[in-house]
Amino acid sequence: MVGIINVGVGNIRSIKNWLDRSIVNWDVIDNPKDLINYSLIILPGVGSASLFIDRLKKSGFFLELKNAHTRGQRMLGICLGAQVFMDYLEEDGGAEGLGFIKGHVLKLPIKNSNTGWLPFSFNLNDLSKAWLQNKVSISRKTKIKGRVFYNHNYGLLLTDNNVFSQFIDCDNLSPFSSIIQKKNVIALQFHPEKSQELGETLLKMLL
Amino acid sequence: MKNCKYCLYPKSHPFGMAYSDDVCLGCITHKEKYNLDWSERYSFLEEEARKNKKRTKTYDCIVPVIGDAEDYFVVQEVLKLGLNPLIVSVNSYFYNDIGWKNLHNLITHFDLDSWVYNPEIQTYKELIRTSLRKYNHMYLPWIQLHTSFPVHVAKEKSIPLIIWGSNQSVEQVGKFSHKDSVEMSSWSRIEHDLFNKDIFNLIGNGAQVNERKLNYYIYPENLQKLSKKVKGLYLSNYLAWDPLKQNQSIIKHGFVAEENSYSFDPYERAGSSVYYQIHDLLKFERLGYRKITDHCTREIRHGRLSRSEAIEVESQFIQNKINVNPFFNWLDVSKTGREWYINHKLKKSSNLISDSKIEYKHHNFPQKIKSLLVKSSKPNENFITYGKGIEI
Amino acid sequence: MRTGSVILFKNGYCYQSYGWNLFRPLGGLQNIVSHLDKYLIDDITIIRPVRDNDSSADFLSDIEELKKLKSSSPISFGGGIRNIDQLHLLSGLPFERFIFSSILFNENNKLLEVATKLYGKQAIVGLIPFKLKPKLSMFNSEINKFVPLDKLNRNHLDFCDEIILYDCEREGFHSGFSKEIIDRFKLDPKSCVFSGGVAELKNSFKNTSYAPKAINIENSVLHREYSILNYYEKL
Repeated sequence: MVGIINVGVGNIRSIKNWLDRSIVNWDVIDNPKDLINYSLIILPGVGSASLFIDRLKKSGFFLELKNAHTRGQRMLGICLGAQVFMDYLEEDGGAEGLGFIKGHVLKLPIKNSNTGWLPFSFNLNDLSKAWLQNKVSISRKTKIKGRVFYNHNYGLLLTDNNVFSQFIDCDNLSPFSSIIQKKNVIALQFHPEKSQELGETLLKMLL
Repeated sequence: MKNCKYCLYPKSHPFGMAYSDDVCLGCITHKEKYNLDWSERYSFLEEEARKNKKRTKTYDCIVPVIGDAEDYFVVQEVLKLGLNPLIVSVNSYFYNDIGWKNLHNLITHFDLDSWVYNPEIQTYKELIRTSLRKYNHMYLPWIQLHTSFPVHVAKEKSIPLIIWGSNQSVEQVGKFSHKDSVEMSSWSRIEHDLFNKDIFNLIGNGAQVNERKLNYYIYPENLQKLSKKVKGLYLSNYLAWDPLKQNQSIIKHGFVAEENSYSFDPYERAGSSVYYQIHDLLKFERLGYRKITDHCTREIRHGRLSRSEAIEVESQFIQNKINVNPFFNWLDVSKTGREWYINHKLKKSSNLISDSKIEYKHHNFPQKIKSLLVKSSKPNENFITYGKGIEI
Repeated sequence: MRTGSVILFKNGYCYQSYGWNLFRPLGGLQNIVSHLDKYLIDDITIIRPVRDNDSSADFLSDIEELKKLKSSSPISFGGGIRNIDQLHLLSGLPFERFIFSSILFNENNKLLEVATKLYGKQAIVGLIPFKLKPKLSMFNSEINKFVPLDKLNRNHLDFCDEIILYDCEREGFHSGFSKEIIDRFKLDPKSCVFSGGVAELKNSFKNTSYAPKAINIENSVLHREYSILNYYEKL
């Protein structure tokens, strides 16, 4: 069963629709103590980093996510949800993240946001066993190529070389990652739930 | 919001009504016909014809037909453009003898290749029963086929063009400008032909059907990925569309008009056992108006009826009763089933139902209308089922 | 350059608009959005064309309808978002970005500050409907009037990640978007989205100094099956 964390900030409805399209059972997790029940935990996030982290801490999810991580439960972070998996977020004067992935979240070196579609390709077999061994076979596809949708001002800057990652496929954003996987955690900077066909295929591949 | 001050359409029109200064967009858009440069618009059609001629080894285009007068006009125009069409038709099983004669005459008179698809009748009837129960609509299954099967043929045979007659969403409610040159699309089919009810609304808890038999009810997927994309054009965007005049003009091709107890128009859907009968009754039940309102509104806009004349003409037909028994017999509905349906689903229109045969009545119409009418015939036999055994 | 579409949505139904004056019906929202998804549109902009004729009840009712929308494409939404209470109602919607128009003519920037905090700067989009004749003016929806350029609160533009420049006179037409508006507004086209008379101009914008971040096609996006140059053709 897939669980979607709800702290009142995050595009829960879009995530639900995304899972429904792929005919995946889901629950909305309102109580942090319930995290233990889920084979995959999705953390969506929108808005400012400080508000989001504040809500995660006040609700108790911040601590319980760390416990879930220790237990080895699989987690998928999307956009701001992915950024919170890092050590440190520069936005709003700076905030500490969950520290699941070594790296920082820094302002993109462009005037406005990175909003739009960029190429993305992915080979499932590049992921480490830590993710693959817990996979449920819902799709035989192992490779995809297409485009994904981004909408962000800050980006994932990885400092750990021993993880799987791919850069955003755009010249002036190349140091920033589009996808990072470390053990049981995957961080997606783009919005798979709004990336049309590729987003649905990616979900089925990752589950 | 008031109704239109010119035409007779009510606000309940299923395509959606909009108004500007008490005039509906249908009337406003109709006026475009008198200001457009039709020769320029026709040249666009000629260009499309030129681009599509001999692109394939077989046919330049598909013309989906029922066999009524509009289809004769469309085929005539398509041949004028120098195109080699494949005629495609879906057997509704609702034809009377005039309908079959007109369909076969269309094909033989113009001497064209044709495909007639006969859907598996038990599935078809089951879908109609569900359509009646859920939506008070008996035509939805056939409309799904009529708007989907030609597109399947076009996709399978790589025929790049489908040519339709009138775009009713423009002609009736001015949903688009003529200048928008709106084309056939999957979106428009769901919105305007199927009223947001596709085939999957008619199965599941409704009809007990084998989904393997529903292929041609479902619009083809991924048309945009084809190298030769299928385009559907409506002639009414490129010709100054005037149905009554056009339909009279094609009598010379052997079309037989049908005497009509429910409208002055003997051309539109001549040859159907249901269009002016059960279908018209259900239209009144759902929307509060009948086909005569469509025809009167059309003639107001074409200047052949004043509003008061149209109201008077409409009144000659709008209360005419309909015998629904032949349709329910054809649908294999028992007497108790028919009675249940009438008592529970036809409350608004119960006074329009008769158990006996309807006598055709003769009416007086203004001369501008009369001059465009022709001698019409009465059908001898209804619900003639060809392709599944001939009953004469 | 993104190619998106504009859908006008009010009282549970979608409309088309021509020349800022003539409304035509369009259809149900879900059917429209499902087909735009199929056409692989880059993004969808849903606007409530409420002008000075809105109410809390209408806003709430439209929000409840919009919550039911299912789409796999990015969606921006706006029209009538004029106070902070309304901002909080937006969090349940399956949308990525929110559009603000009337507030750009206002002195009070509290609404935009709170919106940025709740949804992030990347989610804030400004909308400036304009016309050039008889002289350049912009449409203030809240008062349902065209006003001169000096009424625009340029400080509020700094809150916006992108600005939609909507040519009212060319709305519903296939071409004719007034490119000179970029010079008149003194905006960076790379922060702008053009709408109103842009459908046939996609290719003419590319590789020019006027090339915007995106174009939003109104009305005609549904007028034919392949109106959007989809991803497969772009490859």
